[in-house]
Amino acid sequence: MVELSESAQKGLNDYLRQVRAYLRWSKSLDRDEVEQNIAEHIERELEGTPEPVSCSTLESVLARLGSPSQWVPPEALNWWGKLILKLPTDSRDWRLAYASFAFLLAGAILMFLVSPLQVVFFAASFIIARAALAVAGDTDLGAQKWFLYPILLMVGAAFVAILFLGPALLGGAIGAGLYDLDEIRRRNALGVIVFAVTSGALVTSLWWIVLGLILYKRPGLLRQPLRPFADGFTPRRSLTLSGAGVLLLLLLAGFIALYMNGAFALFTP
Amino acid sequence: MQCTIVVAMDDRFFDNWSTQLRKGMLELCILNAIDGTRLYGYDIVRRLREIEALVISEGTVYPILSRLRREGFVETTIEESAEGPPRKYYALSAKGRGILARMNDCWIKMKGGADGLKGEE
Repeated sequence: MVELSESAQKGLNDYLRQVRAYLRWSKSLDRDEVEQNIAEHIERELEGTPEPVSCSTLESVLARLGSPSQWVPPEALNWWGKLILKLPTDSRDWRLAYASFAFLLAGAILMFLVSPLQVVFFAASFIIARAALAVAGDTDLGAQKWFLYPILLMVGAAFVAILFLGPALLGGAIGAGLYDLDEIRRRNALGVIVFAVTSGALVTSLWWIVLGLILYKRPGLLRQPLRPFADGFTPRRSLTLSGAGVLLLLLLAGFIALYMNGAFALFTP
Repeated sequence: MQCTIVVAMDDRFFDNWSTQLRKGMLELCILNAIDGTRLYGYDIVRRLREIEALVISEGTVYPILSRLRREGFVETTIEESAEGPPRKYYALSAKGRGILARMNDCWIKMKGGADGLKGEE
């Protein structure tokens, strides 16, 4: 590879970053192939140029190569990309931030009027906030965060709660449901609670182990819905989740062993 | 003032028309460039650069090559290069030769037809 000056390297990185931003909106294009084409083209163009190559020389090559957007032809864009490219792309344009916050406020007001319509407003606020994030790309949103992050945090928290704890509630409910209602009346209700919590914890531990392994292979499944808060989520961290699941399972096994040996006689009927 | 506006509108009309024409012609030019030979991406760009009227952003060639490959009109082979990273060579497939013959035929007829419509000098 030809040696670039520091500023030229920065310029090339910036160009590649913009190309990658457009490639995000296409599933049909091979990202590696595009980047390889760019690298090869630049390499050949700069053959024989005195090294390190200056920023102005690289700029002229990139100018002939064309804008980063052209690497993703319109027909290769997905619906989301087509929508994003129609939106205002200037980071000084606050319209998306204002619109997202307005929908959030409208949804919050409607909550007090007990209307299911608030869900539609929250959904609109979330979609607009995500569009604003996509438009901004790697650019700092600045103070627009104050308008965009509330809905993203709200939806993100709900998503995390359902993803991590949903199976626990389901397992608990099934566990409690296994008890005969007549039995509950006759026996100590705490027994039902213990059984529900135990089955909930069992389902949770198994789910965390599986979820951790899934996220290890596909970290984007967590990163994408939780943008930008989970951008730093790595496959390694997903293994921590699996580890936590294993730990919970071991604790649960210990608890069940003690329970079976009558250590919690208080709860037994 | 009015004259300037008319000229600007004419320019815009011509620019739009020539852009559409170039877009349509680019695929034909790429396929013709590799007809009977195999070239690697950058060499195709260099050959197209020689066509003055084509005036393209060079980066537009690569996505078209990828699409032509996906559609089976072009085949690729990767070969090691002594001058740098491995190079991807493009050549016409049998399907590509078939479509190119039809495209060239269509183009010749269209050009002949358009020339025939021109008024006598």
